Amino acid sequence: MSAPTPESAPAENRGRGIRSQLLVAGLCLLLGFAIVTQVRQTQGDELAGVRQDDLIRLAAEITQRNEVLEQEAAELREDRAALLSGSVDSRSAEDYLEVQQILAGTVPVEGPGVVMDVTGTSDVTAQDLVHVLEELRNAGAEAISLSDVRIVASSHFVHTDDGLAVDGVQLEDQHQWRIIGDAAKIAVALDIPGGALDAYANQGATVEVEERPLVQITAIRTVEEPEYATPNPGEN
Amino acid sequence: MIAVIGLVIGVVLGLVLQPSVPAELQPYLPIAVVAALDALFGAVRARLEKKFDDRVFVTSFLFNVLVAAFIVFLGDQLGVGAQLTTAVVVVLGIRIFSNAASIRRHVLKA
Repeated sequence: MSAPTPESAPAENRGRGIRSQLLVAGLCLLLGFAIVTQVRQTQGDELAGVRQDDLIRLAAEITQRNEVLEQEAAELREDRAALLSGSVDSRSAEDYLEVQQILAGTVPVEGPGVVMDVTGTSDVTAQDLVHVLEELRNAGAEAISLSDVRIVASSHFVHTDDGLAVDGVQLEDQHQWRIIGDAAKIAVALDIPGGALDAYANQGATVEVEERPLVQITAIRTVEEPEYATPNPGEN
Repeated sequence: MIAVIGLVIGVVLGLVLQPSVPAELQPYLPIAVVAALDALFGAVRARLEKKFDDRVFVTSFLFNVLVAAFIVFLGDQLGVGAQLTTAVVVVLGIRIFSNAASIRRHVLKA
């Protein structure tokens, strides 16, 4: 686009014309100056063009992020200290082993809990047993056995022609749950409407719940070597 | 012509002096620049239509800049500064485009 060509002002206006032309030039000068200044300002500092509200929000975000990172750093320092002192390490490994043994049911356990005797279970279904087991786990039961069969993660209930079976062991017309955990909590959880006791009652079974300061579970499991799964050395 | 020279000198001055914008003016400078650009395009158009009046240019230039800055200032006070800035830029942008279209018709005859 070509620049506007200058026109000669009318003769009578020449004096005013030159003055106002200078004024126009001055304004254009100002404009060019402002454009360059603004462009440089925008390029120079990416925060310069940001409004106050946005800056406040940015600052808040950065502060928050900082806190999270500091917390993370503190946790990592703790982990490092724990790893550097070998005693802590081996002790936590032992704790870990104990937890795993209890979970896997490879060791006899004892502790406070609940013993629940159920009689007249001829109409009880495998579904009911699953229901009861879920209630127990929800209530925080740490170790469970059913008629001297230790219940673990792989346990299953089957309805056979001869009645119920748990992990392949046939149950008689009556069975007994032994549960280790917070006795009061478990007792309350069993008793809620629509809960485990109601499920038994619906099938005509009689249940006797007893909270005990010491419940022993002697039934154990042997763990078979996994055939396919191996630990991933990259994780942990 | 003298206006173009002024513009060039202004750009050179800006490059040489490298001024920094005072903090209070920072929200207003970009909008003022856009408003001034609108006045400039209007002036070029008037020139091509042979009805350019330098008084009109000077007053519209200053008035545009002041009004635009005032609107942004008002928006900042009302808490809608960002939105009003956008509104002003949109309106001035439309005007610049229509002026540019007129200029194009005059220069290219199409």
